[in-house]
Amino acid sequence: MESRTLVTDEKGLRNWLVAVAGRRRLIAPRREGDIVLLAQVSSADEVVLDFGITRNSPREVFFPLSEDLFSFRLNGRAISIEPPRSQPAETLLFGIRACDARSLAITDAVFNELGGRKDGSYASRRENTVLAVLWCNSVQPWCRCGSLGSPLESARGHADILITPLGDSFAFDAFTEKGASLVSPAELFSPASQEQAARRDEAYGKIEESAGRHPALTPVEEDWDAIWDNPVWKEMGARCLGCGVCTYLCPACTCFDILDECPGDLGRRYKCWDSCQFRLFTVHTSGHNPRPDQASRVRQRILHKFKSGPALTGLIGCVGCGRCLELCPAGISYVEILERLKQAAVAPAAPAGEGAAKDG
Amino acid sequence: MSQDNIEKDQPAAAWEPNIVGFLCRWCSYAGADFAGSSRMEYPPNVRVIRVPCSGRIDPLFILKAFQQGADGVLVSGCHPGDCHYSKGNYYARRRMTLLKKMLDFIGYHPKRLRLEWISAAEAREFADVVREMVAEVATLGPAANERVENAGQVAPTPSPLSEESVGR
Amino acid sequence: MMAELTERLRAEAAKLLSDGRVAMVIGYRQGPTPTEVVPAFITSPEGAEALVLNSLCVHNLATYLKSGTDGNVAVVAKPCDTRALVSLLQERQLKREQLVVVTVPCVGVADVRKFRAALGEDHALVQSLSQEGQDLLLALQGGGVRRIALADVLARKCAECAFQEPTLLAPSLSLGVDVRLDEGRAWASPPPSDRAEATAERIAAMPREERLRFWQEAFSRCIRCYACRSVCPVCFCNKCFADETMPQWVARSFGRAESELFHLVRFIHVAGRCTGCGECERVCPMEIPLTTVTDKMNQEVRELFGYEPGLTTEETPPLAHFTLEDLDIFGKG
Repeated sequence: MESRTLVTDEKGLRNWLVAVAGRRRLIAPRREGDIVLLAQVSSADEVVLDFGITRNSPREVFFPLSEDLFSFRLNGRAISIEPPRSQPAETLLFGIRACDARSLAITDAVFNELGGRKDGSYASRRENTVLAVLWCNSVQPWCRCGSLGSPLESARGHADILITPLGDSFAFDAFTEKGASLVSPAELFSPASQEQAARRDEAYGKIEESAGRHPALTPVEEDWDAIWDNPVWKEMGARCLGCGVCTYLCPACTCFDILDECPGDLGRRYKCWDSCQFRLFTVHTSGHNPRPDQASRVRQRILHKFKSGPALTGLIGCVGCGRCLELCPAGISYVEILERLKQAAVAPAAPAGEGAAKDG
Repeated sequence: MSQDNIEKDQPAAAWEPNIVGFLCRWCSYAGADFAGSSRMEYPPNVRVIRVPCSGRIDPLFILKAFQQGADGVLVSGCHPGDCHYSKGNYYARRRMTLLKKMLDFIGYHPKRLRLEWISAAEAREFADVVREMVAEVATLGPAANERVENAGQVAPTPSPLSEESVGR
Repeated sequence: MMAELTERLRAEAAKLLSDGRVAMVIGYRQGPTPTEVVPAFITSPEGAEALVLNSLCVHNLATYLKSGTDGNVAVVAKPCDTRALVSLLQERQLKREQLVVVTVPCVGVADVRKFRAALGEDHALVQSLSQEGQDLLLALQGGGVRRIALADVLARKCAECAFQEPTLLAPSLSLGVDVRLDEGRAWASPPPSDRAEATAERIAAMPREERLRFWQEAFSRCIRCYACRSVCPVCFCNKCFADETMPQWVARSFGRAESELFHLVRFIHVAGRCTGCGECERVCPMEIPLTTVTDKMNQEVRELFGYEPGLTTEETPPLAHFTLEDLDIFGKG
């Protein structure tokens, strides 16, 4: 949709946040110790604008860490079931990055589209939330957004509003009706001058160029047979602690578990995050585990994101946010793994590999 | 599965301390039983969980009791030297002492965890301990009041269990 | 010195493998980028060339052995790491005869977060990393060299460490014992007000409600990824209490202080065995100050039982034994 670029200064931005917070729940970046986290903020003063990327991803907003599906009450032999009490509040999600916005296409594909079904609560959270992307000031060492697409395309394609720092002010561009209607009250904003629009384009260009320096990453084309036994899996599996940091910080991961909790006469069924990197993720009641070691679990994660996932949804399951690259305690990098797979395809004779001290 | 549930809908004014007592089967539980069969009067606020020995008590049980809404936890075993299994209570002694230090550091009031040695003959002592502990915890108030629910969660999901649960 | 030490390590590792003395050498290698070091699992003599040794070798490699080994394994161990190996041997998770411990002298390790912050924008420009004494040297694109003093980015555990010698485990192979840093450690011990005990005291001095809130807020950031548990060398239960479903001690939901419960139980379960390696805090993606509690617990263990975990295989953890004269606080409320 066509919409004018509007501009305001930092004071105006914070006043805007205050105005919105009066009508909607505000989730924005907030500093906690040495990290910046997306959190529900009660005061616009808490919001930070100067950071790389939030430690947590916006996935928590739409696909919570744990979420009640329903609660139930036992009355003797009778069971009554009650739907969840709360409806998702109207929300402004402010301060996510372009890569984060792009990840919503992936979670949408899983929760909103797969098999023609919508996950009700995910869908209503998406509908009730306005996404305001804050354009990056610089490309961080771990960023690979440019390898998975254009950051600007990601923002334009998935954000409702894109806010670009111009140094002394911020440019607001709305891409949807939802977004446009939220860029108010009008007194806070003025139309962008030509010079401001040019500065905005320069900010876009700077990140696009910087991000574009990394080589593009594409789905793994080689046959399953050709890559299944690549020594890289054993090597990475040996190092991998099965800690779950990669999958839990990833904006594009969607695995979950469903459990019941019933301490007395009152109970609930809830959905919670799970990780394919946990040993118990695929264990059967018989005790058999089709992914018995860390090597097979690492392989699963990489190939799900870069081979079977794209085959299913048309989308690579990664947006290059860099969280897993920065935070893996064992330095496992999907960039390195994909490179090794490519190399093996070109020169199949691999040197003696490495392996875990103990399998499983 | 049937469990005693405390009345859920009491107004705040009628709050009563909810104390979980881990009593060893050979000494303390017998002592408590003796107090009961002697018709001694003492407050009913202690829910007893019988364990074979105080050495069986994993700090996990105590921490879980607090997490589930207990306002206080009583741990009692045989006097050192008299453990039915010879040495279980010696292990418990070390373990509970360390646990107590940790709880204090984390902010739990030290009076909420009470450690006792009560023998099978010590019915009066058991009743006294319960009376004292209930009074002390009553002055401290509900442990739940000190909790911060879902602090910092991006999208906290209110759960019926957080409002209506055992012990509140 | 580091260069010489690294060469000797590579030669010894290759020899251990070619002699068939071990099937694998666990050490460190360069990671996906020049500023990263990652664990290495070398199974061929040629592979030993990849081994590196510098102050980014922060990982406690004992964790990779915590469930035992298939066959004989050599592990590169800093003095602090040998303590974790001792803990594992005490609890019979490992067999001494299967283990070849290659000790390296303590040169201190960096706090990776501080190191990355110090690097700043230069991060993307680093082409190679080396170490000279207690300085990290980073060769940059365009020809410059950045020198980062270890003392400026030192891990807190090193600054306060009382153990420098791997006297804890008769090493199978001790590299660099005869190679000493002439000038000693290039960092000063922190003043008492910066040490772990002082932090613990400050927290203990907080009014109770403030203290409780402090910890509740710290633990509320926890996303239950279990990285702390996965990396800990003494968390090796086949079925962790947190994974138990009958009964389910720790629900996988996020209300009612489930995360706090997980951490408190884990802290008390490792108490007396925890060697203060600080890995739990290093790997936590939410930067929860876990070592504040583990250091406090270690201090309590020291005071209550006069015990320091991981010193000798002849001892057992304090909660696994007792004396008749132990402090008795029972009966005094």
